[in-house]
Amino acid sequence: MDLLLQDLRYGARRLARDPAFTLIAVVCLALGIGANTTVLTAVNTLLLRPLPFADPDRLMALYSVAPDAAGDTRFGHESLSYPDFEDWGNLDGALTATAAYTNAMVNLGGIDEPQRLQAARVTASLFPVLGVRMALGRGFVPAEDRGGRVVVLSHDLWQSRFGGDRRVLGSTVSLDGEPYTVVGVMQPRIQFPETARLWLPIDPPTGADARGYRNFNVIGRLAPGVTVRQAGARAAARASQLAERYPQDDARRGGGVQPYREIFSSQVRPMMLIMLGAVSFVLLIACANVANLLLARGTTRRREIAVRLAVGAGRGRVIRQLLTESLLIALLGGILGALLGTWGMDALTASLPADLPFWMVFNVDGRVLAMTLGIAAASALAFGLVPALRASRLDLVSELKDGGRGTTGVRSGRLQAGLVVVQLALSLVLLVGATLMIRSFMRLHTASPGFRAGNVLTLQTSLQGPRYPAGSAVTLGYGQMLERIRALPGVKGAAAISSLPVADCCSSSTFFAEGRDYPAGSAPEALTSAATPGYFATLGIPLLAGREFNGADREGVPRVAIVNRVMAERTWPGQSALGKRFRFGAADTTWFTVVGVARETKYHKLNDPDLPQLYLAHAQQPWRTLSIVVRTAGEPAALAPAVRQAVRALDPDLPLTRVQGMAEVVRLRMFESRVYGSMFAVFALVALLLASVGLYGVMSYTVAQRTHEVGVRIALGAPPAGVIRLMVRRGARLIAIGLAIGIPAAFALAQVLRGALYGVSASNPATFLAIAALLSAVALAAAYIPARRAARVEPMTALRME
Amino acid sequence: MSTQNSPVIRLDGVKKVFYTDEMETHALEEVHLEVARGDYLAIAGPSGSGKTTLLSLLGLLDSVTSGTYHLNGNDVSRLSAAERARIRNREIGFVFQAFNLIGDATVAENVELPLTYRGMPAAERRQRVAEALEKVGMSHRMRHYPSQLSGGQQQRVAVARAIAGKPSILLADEPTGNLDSTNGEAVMDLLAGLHREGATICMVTHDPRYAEHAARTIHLFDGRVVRDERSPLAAALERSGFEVA
Repeated sequence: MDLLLQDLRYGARRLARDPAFTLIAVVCLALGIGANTTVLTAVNTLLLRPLPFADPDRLMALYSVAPDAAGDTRFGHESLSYPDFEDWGNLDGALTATAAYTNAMVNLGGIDEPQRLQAARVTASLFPVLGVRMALGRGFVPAEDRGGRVVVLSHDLWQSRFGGDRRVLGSTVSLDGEPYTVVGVMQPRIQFPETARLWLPIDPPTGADARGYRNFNVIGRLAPGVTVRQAGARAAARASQLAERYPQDDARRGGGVQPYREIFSSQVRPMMLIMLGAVSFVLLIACANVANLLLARGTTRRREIAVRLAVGAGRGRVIRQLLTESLLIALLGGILGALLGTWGMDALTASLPADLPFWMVFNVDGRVLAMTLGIAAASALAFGLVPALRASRLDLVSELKDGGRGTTGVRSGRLQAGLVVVQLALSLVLLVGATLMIRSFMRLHTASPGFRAGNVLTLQTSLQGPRYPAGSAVTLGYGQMLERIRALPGVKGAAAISSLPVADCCSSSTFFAEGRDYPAGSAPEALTSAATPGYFATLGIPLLAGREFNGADREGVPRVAIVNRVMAERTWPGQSALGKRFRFGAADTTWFTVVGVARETKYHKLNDPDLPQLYLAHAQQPWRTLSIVVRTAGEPAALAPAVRQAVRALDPDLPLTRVQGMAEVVRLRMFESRVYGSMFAVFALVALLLASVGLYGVMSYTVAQRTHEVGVRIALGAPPAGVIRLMVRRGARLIAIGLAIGIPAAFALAQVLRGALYGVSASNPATFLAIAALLSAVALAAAYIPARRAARVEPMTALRME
Repeated sequence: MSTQNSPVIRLDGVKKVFYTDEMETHALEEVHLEVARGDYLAIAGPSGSGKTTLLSLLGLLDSVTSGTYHLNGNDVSRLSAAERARIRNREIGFVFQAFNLIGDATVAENVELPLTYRGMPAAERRQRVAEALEKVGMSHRMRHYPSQLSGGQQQRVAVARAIAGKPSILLADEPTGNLDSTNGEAVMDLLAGLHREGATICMVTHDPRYAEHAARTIHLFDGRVVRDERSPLAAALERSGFEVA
């Protein structure tokens, strides 16, 4: 311990005495470690950190597998219908319990300003399945499972709206105009499934078509000794039984089970792995840099090390001393890196949407800190061991006699050159990969969402409660609301839609085209929404044929629909879709006639495949919750207060949520590509910077070592240009070797990335050539600057340096 | 094992050959040498005669090509690097021409250095350091760094470092080579004092004035010992019946 402290004390003193070296080494490492900390924080949050439920690894999501819908894999995993949920049960004991839930929005009234809140309708079994407890009161009981008028508040809602008053238990609150009794308050920091602020008993449909209404997410807890695979097999078997028993709704339908976490992690895992690969490269480049600095510094410390060896230090003891210094550098780099990583994560999370699941908190916790510390320690070994081994192997006699003139050996020079080559190759691979990803994300940003997002204000509201008892009242309410908004100065148009493109994904329906026979379970599906007249014009969605909805499309007249081009071409290939009819059940008597064909809009992300979409006339299919879209003459945000006032004038109890510009909606939806793109750009810049610094350092050092030789050459009449050429040639050779290794490696990496690219070729030679040229230019500049300095030296000054 | 009468150092037919890519250089040829305990040996000779090579072999900084080297009666000719390091640490003290103090360590830390590699308890190390610095008259500078000392002072610190571990032999390689004559004399007086206290010293020098401080001088030429002589003073004392080591 005493010796370790002595090593630490001496190491700290050495670092303090060489601040330039220490600063460069620590900053290099901090950049590498910081990049790793940022990505590890994301990986930890998304893939590693246990979910805040009891024994979260045994929490399973149950899903129904839809029959192939014309190859649209988007419809692969689906929710269950409530009857299916009941029939699946606990899968013959594979699960100890199951629970169903569905997202909902409710208007909380009666206290101050009405508030529209994210809620969830859940079975009584949900809370025991999750293993969460109530902070106050109780959860639900099975008797309340069908629409009981009771509510459980989230802890933060209890605090923010009810002041944390314990007397809230048993009190009545108004939800969508109906009285509900508060029976419980959830433990803090639970907002399952994503951002729910209150929970209501589930209220499943009871009609004959209930089995086709697949809108219930189901989770269960895996029984002891049962594997995910076994539970999945039982789910598939159960789905198969139901398909035989209910061919009309469940034919060819499958079933499965997956760990609950994978709902989220499966989508991000590939990108996270790519990110981890990228930051590993950044760290390796940083380590190569520091190793090179240490090698150069080792040359100047040869005499000190020789003295230590001479007075009896074993080689292992010297290596330990040198590694202690490396560890100190790594520790400082780790601390600064953790700070940089935290700062980087804060910058990234600022651009994340607010509706992420409540447990996705991107913070640096103990696990990330431990991993950062581990990385720092591993880095110390990576960059410190070889220089330490090299430094401890000395010709003691000549070192002690000559006093070590600071000349480097051939092998040491080769090692440094090798490290530069590795840096260049790694940088090339990283830069090519990052450039491909950045170009891909840029493509995504310029991809059209299928409508004109500029100068559009959106907001969401819901007409609930006794004031809007029937669909006609809802239609009338929205009609009046839109009229008032259209009358506002600066408004060019206003309409409403049940599923705002890009924001509200995805409500789908099975449809049956007239004149077609569909084998059981093979009817196609389409994303379905209801729109008011003027919606397409307001949002700028081109109509390719037919017309918009208008005032004549009301209740009591034949039902009409507008379909998108994909649905039109797939359902009625080679024909005009106008006038064609479809219905939503094979035995339905209500037909919908196509009156228009619209261009596709993106429904979730901008790289979504184009899917069939159909729009119903809202007056014929009144949805209670709609998003209002307002086309404005100027800045949309400026009109928000006036629009809000117009709605309130109609009904002061209406809650207004998600008041934002449509461009902002699109921007938020692209957060993933923006975040990933920014990260790749930062990593690429850091790699380029590190590689440049590394090459410059090695070239400076090499040139300094040859100053005497330069003096001799100049004394013998060599022109400065010739000296520069001589020096740069060595750098050029290293660059050439680095590129020769890096280009094939980058090509191989690009093929791995192929699946993650959008609209960019993985083997586009222009990308490779441009990056190689950029890296060469930077590296040559790094070699040229010290060479030019050497060429300007006075011959006698150089000769005296021997 | 060594006894009081057996030589501390005994070389039998020692050769040292350096190999480079295309040639071999015979630095030492058939060197036979015995150094008794308490002896003060000067190794003299022109440049390239093998003085430093011989001292390196004696100090186990290098190993013999052939022949044997016994230190304190133990054959140390063919030891591993780790074993040589252990013996250097316990049995040998070095004084170099270029002082070879560690610039980032204080005077006390420099002197303490060989003791730390011995695993000695801190309290004992501190006491040994204090004693050694006291002996060379540098106690008042123990917290200074080498760069804050004159050349003569640095060499005195180097001597303190060499004797702090109470080694069997003290090896000095041109200890006055980087000093002016005043400081050179002072260092030589210091070594003479240590010799009087019983230290065994082997010193490389090409300056006859300093060689005279030693009781015995061997002359090397082309890697061979060509002359081995007692100093006139030592010879006279011996003739008078004084025992001179």
